[in-house]
Amino acid sequence: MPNSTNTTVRKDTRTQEMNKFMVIVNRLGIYVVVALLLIAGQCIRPDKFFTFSNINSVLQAVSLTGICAVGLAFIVYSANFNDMSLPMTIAFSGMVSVQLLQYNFVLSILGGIAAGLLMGAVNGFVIGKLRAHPIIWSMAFNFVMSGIVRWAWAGNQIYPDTITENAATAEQFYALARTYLGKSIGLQIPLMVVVMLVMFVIGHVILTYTSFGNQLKIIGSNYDVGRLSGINCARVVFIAYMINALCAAICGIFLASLSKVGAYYNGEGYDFECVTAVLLGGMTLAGGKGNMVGVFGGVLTVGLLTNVMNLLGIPTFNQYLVQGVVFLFIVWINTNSARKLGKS
Amino acid sequence: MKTKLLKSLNQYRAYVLVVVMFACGVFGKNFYTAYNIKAILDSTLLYAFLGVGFTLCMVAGHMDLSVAAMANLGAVLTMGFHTFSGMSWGPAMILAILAATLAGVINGVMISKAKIHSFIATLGMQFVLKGVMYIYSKGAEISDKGDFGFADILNKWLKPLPITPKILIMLVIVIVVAVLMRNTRFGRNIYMIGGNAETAWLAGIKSSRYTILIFAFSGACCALGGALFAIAQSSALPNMGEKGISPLLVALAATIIGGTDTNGGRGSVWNTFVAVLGLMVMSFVLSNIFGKFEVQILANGLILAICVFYETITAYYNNKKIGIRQPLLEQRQKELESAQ
Amino acid sequence: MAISKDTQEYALEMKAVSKQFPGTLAVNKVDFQVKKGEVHALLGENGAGKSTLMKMLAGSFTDYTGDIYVLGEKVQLHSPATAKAAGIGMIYQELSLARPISIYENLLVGRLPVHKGLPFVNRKQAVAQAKELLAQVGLEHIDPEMPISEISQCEAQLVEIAKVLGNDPKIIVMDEPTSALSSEEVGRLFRIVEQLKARGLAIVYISHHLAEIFTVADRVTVMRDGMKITTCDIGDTNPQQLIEMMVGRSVSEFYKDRESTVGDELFRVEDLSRWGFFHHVNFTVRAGEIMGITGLAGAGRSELARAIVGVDQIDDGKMYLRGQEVRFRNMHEAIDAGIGYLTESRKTDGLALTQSIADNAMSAIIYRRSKFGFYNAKSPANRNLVKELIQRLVVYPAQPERPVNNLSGGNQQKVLLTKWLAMEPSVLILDEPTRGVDVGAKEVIHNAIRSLAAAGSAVILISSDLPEMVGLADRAVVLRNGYIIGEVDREDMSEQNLLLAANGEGEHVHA
Repeated sequence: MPNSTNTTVRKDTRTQEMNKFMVIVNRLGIYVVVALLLIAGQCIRPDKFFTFSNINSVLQAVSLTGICAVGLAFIVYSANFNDMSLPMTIAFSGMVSVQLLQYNFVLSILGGIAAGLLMGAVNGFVIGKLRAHPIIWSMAFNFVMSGIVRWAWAGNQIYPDTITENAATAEQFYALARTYLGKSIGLQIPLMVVVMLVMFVIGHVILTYTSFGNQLKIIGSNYDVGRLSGINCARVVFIAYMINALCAAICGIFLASLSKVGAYYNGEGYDFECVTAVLLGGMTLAGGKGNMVGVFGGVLTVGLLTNVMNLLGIPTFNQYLVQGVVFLFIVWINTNSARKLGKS
Repeated sequence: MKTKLLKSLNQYRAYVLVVVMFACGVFGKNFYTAYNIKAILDSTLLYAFLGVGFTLCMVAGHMDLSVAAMANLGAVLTMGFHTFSGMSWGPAMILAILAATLAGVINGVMISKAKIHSFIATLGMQFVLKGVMYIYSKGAEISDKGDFGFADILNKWLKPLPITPKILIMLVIVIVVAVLMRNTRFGRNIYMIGGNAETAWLAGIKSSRYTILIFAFSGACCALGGALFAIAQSSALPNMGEKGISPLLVALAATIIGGTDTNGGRGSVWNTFVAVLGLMVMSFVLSNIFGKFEVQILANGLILAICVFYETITAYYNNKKIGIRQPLLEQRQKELESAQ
Repeated sequence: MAISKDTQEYALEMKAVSKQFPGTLAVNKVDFQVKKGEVHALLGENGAGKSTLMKMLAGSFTDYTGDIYVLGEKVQLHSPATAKAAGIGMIYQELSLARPISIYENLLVGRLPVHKGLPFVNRKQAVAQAKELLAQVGLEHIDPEMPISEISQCEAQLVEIAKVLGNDPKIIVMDEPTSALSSEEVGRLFRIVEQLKARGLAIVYISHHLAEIFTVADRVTVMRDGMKITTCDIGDTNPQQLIEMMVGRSVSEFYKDRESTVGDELFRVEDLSRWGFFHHVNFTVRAGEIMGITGLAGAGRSELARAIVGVDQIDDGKMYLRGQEVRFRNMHEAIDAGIGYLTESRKTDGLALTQSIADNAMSAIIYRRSKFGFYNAKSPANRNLVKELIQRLVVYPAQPERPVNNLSGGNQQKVLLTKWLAMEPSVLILDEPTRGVDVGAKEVIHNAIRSLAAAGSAVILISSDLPEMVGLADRAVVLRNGYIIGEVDREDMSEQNLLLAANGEGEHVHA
């Protein structure tokens, strides 16, 4: 009908214009913070900050957080808030891989990853299929796994065997976190950093350019809409948890290699640090918003903040306070800008 | 009939836990001694306070992950004010509780005014508090130097009852809060906010004020628990219980086992307390039988996980039955019978 | 004399009230009067400003201009509490009851009785008061201590009314109160409205159903573009005229006859059952046909649709698509086979509100348009498809990247339809495709449905909007209490026949 166009267009003057500034804050805000921290670092220690070794050490420090954050981003994106079982996933996979070192290096790595994936599968099934409350369930599961791990190893830490004929495997394992690449072109980039960067790239591709990522977006904004759009929600959320567990397992193995010990407390604090990075990176707890580029910015912020505080000589304990306050402040800004956009 | 029995079993599962675990004591050695029962009650002290705070917040539809940090703050500050600043116990405790209340108010403001998700706000607060405590205590244990007078009073065994004064204080608080929640307008309004925030708002209940109050109260309650715990132990650590069973997880477990709805609107402080008692009885039975600390963690975790899993499964199957029509089912039954 | 009498006569007077939203004047100097003891209907397309006007009454805004008088007294309605205190009771379209909480606490929320001199709630008295209120809406048989989650939707709607009555209001505002009710239940609601009227209460009644307005209202006010167009007695007007005033142009004939070219059988279900929801359902849809499923709310229509597309399980029976037996374990398989389902509620399970128009439009076909698992939402092909769909359904504003939640209701519903047009369905099930949508958007959506059928798809239409059913459907099967009890064909299609059949009466019902 010829008239219909006119009617529809005429009446719709109520929609609000989007606030351009807030869009930019929402998208790129975190890199402004990164830049500010870089400037601050330069001002504090002009002699030291922009040296290759310092930047490298920042990257190295954030690489473990970064590896985990890539996985966790999928959980936050799917509106499942946070995986509180992250610490035990990290610890469990680390311990399993240390335990298996007595057989074979490859087996130990695969075993560690399998251990993590096993936990991811449980989470994915209970949260994705049965739709348990994600925080409550993952906290409970973390509790159970903490019990299992301590019970199985009688509350002990385990060390790779460096004395008997297995010493070579142990050395191999230690070397994981201590390998540097790019020596031939005069660089010294730790393997962990390369792994993190590769994982960010893969994570970005998965999140943005696959049907899985796009389906996760719909599920993240509204699970029922996803289901009634023909998306196999249980499977998609399950995969998200598997990706998360894979990342946590890789992180756990590197962490065990770095600290030369497999222990139940290895992953402590990662749940907070990673969700900090992810939220700083512009993802929202409401789900379906944000991207990996932002998350990378969030990870950098966390790392730079620690680095700047170290350069300032703030003791580790006091850094908790600063981190907590910064976290709350930036989450507040984030929530606010999202609300102003009418998106949350 | 069978489902009815299961339903009421589930409704009173906290009590079931207490009874079953207590009965399991027969497998242990010297479990049923007055001293042991007193010790079990004593051990509920901290967790009961945390459970009360956690349950309150969850009934209102929020989550307070900072309960353990609040208790810690109460403990460290009370000890510190007494030992470092030479205050007497009363003012030291009151100041510590005020500090935690302030932190609770900040939680509440972040959640109700700045609209930050409670889980995130309290997670952040947890770290802020941790930082504050480490700075204050310089990361070390604070113990009072030879002043055990008050601790002795709190720990005095009121024979023949298996009770100590600190437990009496705890019981009074639990009962007062339980009555407050169950029988006053204030309490019922909290349930309404948790059940449907919109309804509460339309009824003129100022939910932001309630949220702030609840979180402030939760902070105060946890700090009191922490302070009593520290005084009774004569020492406070900035990372109390972190290496053992995490107090936060016990509070969560008790709240869930006590039947609190994770989405808010349903739950009871008294049931949470009973669940805490149940968990503690279980811990004692297990340590009596196995003598291993790890088994306790595992058992606590398993019970929590089973409860969460059970709730999830029930919700999953109930969801499938939403809108089912009983007359149609009866008709189907008749069809089947006539076919046979 | 005249002045004092006027102030006495009106329960509610709004004088030159306005409300500014960023960029637009949502309500523009509206005068609105409601007499005591009358039902006053408020009509207007979505976005005409009637919701804003009512929100003003509910105390949702602190910054409106103009004066509001209740029973001749000037009031400031700046919070829900002040509105309630002024004697205004709101009954919302989406229920405002707390589901895990008992009925009596819901009824007496914010004013639970306490024991004298003590701060404790008097449960006995509260239950007694609740019983009294429930009796006023004909729910004597319900135990007030049950939680809301245990009673039906219709009962909950009546509890909502009881709750408002408990505040002793002078004015009751009902916003689409019948949207979740069957016509039997609507009758029950109207009887209660009559009783309230007889008690001298003023009732503001908002509805898109013209038939309801002519049944229940005494006077009617029409709004358009934030302004009041007219107020008149219901006897002095007719539906045609009202629609013209709402739309601002003459609608010569809203529902046009359609040349239907019905082809071969496309989809057939045989003896389909989901125990407890619907039993032994049989029907056949042919290509190019629009088949209606009519029935009262709660007859099992949406449940049937959900089961067909595999969202819910099927316990018994068979389905055939183009003669091949099919069975879908989830909706993904249904979409693969070419069956789409537009859901009833765009807010809860239709649209991802925070996402863009483009994301929503493509959400049902992400899998289909991906290659080896890769999918680029911004590829030229996908962009063009979205653009074309936006044009086809005249979605405004036509910006693919705009989040759906700042579109108007009508445009949201159009986006929802684009999602299913994008998959090029061979069978499309439409569940209330125009619920709560203005006349302009309705027309666009109806045209899209017609052209879909004309292109050879089969359409199954579920709608409570009887004129829509009569105007669109070639024939309709009648579902009642989970059974198909009859069929109405093109020649006999009329609102009356459909209603009769849905109620289990009339010649179209077979035994």
